[in-house]
Amino acid sequence: MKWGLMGIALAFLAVFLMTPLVVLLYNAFHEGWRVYQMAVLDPETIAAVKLTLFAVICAVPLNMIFGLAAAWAITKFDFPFKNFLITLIDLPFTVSPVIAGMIFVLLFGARSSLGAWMIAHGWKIIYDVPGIVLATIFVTFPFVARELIPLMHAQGTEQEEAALTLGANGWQIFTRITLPNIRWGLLYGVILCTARCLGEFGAVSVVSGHIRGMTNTVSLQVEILYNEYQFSGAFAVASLLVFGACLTLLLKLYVEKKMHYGKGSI
Amino acid sequence: MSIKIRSICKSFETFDVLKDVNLEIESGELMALLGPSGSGKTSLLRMLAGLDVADSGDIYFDDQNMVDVPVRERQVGFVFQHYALFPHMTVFENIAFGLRVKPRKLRMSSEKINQKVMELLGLVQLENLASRHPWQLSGGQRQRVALARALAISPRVLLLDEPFGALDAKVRKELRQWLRQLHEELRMTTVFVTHDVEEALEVADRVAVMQNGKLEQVGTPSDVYHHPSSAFVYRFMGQVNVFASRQGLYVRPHLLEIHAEMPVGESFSAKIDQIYDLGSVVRVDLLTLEGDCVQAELTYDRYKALGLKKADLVYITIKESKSFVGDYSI
Amino acid sequence: MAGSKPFFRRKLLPGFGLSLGITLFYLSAVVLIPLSMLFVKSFDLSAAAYWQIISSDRVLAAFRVSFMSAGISAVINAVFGFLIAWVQIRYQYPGRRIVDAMIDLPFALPTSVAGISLTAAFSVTGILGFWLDKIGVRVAYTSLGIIVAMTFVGLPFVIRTLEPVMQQLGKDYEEAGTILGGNRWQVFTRVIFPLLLPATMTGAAMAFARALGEYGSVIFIAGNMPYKTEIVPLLIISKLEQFDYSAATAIAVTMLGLSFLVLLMINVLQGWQRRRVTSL
Repeated sequence: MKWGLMGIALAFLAVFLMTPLVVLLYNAFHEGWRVYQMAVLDPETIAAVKLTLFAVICAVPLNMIFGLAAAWAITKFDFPFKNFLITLIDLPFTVSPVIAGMIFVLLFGARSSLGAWMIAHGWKIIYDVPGIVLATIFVTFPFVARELIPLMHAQGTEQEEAALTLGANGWQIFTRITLPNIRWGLLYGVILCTARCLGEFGAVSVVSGHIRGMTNTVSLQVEILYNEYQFSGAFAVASLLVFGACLTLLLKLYVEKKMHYGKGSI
Repeated sequence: MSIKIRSICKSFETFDVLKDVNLEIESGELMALLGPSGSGKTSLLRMLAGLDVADSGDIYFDDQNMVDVPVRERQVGFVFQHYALFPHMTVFENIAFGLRVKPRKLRMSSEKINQKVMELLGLVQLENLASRHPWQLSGGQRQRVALARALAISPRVLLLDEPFGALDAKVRKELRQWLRQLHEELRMTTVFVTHDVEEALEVADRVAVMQNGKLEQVGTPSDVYHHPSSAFVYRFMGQVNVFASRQGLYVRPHLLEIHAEMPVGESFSAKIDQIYDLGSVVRVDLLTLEGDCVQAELTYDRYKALGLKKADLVYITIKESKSFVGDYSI
Repeated sequence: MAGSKPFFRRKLLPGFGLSLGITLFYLSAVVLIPLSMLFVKSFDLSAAAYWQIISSDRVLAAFRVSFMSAGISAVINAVFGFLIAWVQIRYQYPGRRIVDAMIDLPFALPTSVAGISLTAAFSVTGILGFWLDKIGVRVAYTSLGIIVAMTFVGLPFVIRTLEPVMQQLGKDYEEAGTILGGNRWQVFTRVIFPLLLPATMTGAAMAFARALGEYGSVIFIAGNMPYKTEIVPLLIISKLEQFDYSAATAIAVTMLGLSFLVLLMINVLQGWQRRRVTSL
C-alpha cells in the first residue's frame, strides 16, 4: 500500500516537475558551453536581465512597505470592513496576468485621454519601462501582506502591549519588538515576491511592446528567441531563470526551517 | 501610591463587562481581584494599566486622574498571564528593555542600566541566567523574569494578570510565598487577578470578589471567607451544601457533624451514599430523609471511631450555617 | 470617552492612521483605480454590442476551451494532489524534503520557461512526447497540451492546502475508526475523506482559478488554433494587438466576473473547511 501510493505520487511528480526541468537543462547545454555562453552574454540578454532586476528593485520594496503597513493596520487594530479589505488585497491573485497588463494599457495607452496627454508631455508608460514596473507591482502586490497578516494575527498584540507598559514609543515597538518577531515571515514574503517579479510573463508581455534591448524582460526574451526558432538560445536564457527559481526554493526551504524553529521554541 | 476606582462601566456590544465598579486600594497594599472567568477582573486590571478603556468612570493614582494618561506614561508594572517575554531577547535584554527605550534625556547610562538589571536579577534570584533566552527557562523562571522586567521601570503600581495560572501546582505554591515575601520587602501597591480562592486568601492583604462585572465583596481574606456578604461569595469560596428543603440553608462540609447515635438537640437523619477516603480527611456523601444530597468532611480518626459503612443510617448536626435571604438559586 | 463604538475609540497601539492610510492609498493607486478602468471602459459598450462580442463563436469557443481545460486539470490536481499530500505527510522516505521543495517549482518557475520546457518535453521529438506518440497520443499543440500546462501551474495548490489539514488531523480519527471496527477502506471513505473533502475542493478551486487566467505556460504548448486550442487570455491579447479595445474589454470583464465567482466559491469552501476542522 505504502509503496504503491508513493510510487504513483513520485511518478506523477517526476513526469510533471522533473522532466521539464531536465529537458530544459539538456536543451540549454547540448550545443555546448560556447553556444550557451554566447546566448547568455548577448547584449540583448544582458539588457533584459538589467530591466528585470530594475523591475524587482522597484516592486519589491514598495510591496514590502505596503505589506508591513497593511499587516500592522489589519492585525493590531479593529475597524469596520476589515475582511473586505483583506479580500481586496488578494484581488490581484484572481486577476489573470493578461488582464492585469491590459488595465494599464487602458489607463495609460495612447488611446486613453490620460495616456494621450501624458505621451504629449513626454511621459511614456505603455510600451516602456514604467509600464513594465507597474504591471510587475500589480501582479506581485499581495505577496508580502498575505504572508504577514496570518503570522502577525497569530502572534497577537500581547508583546506590543508589554512594550507599551514598559514605556516604548510606536517606532521602538515596531523596530525592536514586531520586526524581529516577523523577520522570517517578512523574508519569506519578499522571496516569493521577488521570484514572481523575476518570472512574470503575461502582464509584462501586454505592456512591453517587445522592443529588443529596451523593453524586454528575461522571460519575454525567452519567448522571442523561442518564436524565432533559436531554441538553444531560448533555453540558455531560460536556464538563468531556472537557477533563480532553484535559488528561491532553497532560500524558501531555509526560511521555512527558521520559521518552524521560531514557532517551536516559544 | 493609592488607587481609587470610581464608577467604572464598560460594555461590549450588549454585554456588560463592568457595571459601576468602585474600589479603593491603599498605598502599599496587596489586593487580589478574585472571581470566575468572565467576571470582569482582567478587564479591570487592564484598565488600571491603560490597556483597556472604560466607557465611563475614573481611575485615580493618588490624586491624579489617570483616564486620559496613555499607557506608556502611566508607569505601571504589568505582568501578563503568559508573560509576553520578548522571544528574540535574552533575559538581560528583556529586563533592560524598559530602561533602554526611555527618551535620551531620561535614560540612565549603560553602566547604570547594567547595574540596575543585575540588581533586579538578584532580587528574582536569576543572576546566572542573564544570557539565556526565554525558551530556555522553566515556567517559574519566566514568571520571575516577567516580574523583574515589570519592576525595572520603577513602577508606581504593580499589576499581575493570573500570575500563577500557567504554572504547575508545586511551583505555584512556592512562587506564591515568594511573591508575598517580595511584597513585604518592596511594599509596592500591587493588584493581582486570580480565579484561585486559596491563592487569593494566602497572598493578598485584601480580596475583592467579582461576579458578572460587579464587585460582590471587598475585605480581608478572613472577612471574605468567614463573613460572606452573599450566597455567591460563600459558594465561590469553597465547597458548600445547600439544604433546599430548609429554605436555602448553606453549610460547609466540614461544619456538618456525623453521629452514630441520635445526639441531643436538633439533628436530622440521613443515609450514607458513598465514602471517599482522601487521606487526611474522609468525605461522606449523604442522602437526608428530606431528599437533600449533602457532603460532610471528617477527620480520618473520627471516621474510624464512628466505624461508618456505606448505607448506614446516621444523624447529622450543623455546627455553623449561613442563610442568604432571597437567594435560593443554585 | 467620546463614543462607545470601536471605530471611534482611542487606539491602544500607535500608527493606526499612518498604516491604514498607506494601505488604502497604495491599494487604490496600484489595484483599485487601474482595475476600475476596465469597468469604466466597459460602460462605453451598449448591452447589445457587448452581447454581440461575447456570443460570437470564437469567443464562446475560447471560453469553452478555457473552462473545460481548467476544469479537467483541477480534477487531475485534486486526485494526484491528495495522493501526494498524503504521501508527504504520512510517509518518511529519503529525499522527502527535496520533494517537498520541488512541489513549489510551478510557483517559482517563470511561466514562459515552464511553457517552453513542457513543449519540448511533450512534442513528438521530446522525451515524453516520443513515447506518447508511439501509443497514438499527441499532447503538444492539442487541447491535451493545454491541460498538461494548466495541471503544471496548478499542481501546488491542492497539496499546500491539504498538508496542514492532514497534519492537524493526525492519526486519531483513523485509529478511532479502526477501533470501532471499520476496515481500511471504510475508515478512509467514511472518516478521513469527508474530513479532507473541503480542503481538497478549496485547493482544486484555487488551481482552477489559476489555470483559468494562465497565459505564459499555455501558449507555447497549445497550438493556439481559433475555435480549437485558443484560450481566453490569448484571445484578449490578440484583440488588443488588433487595437480592438472594446472586444478586449468585453471579454476581460466577463472573464473577471467569472473569476470573482470562483473567488466567492473559494471563500465559501474555506468557511466550510474551517467549520469542519476547527470543530474537531
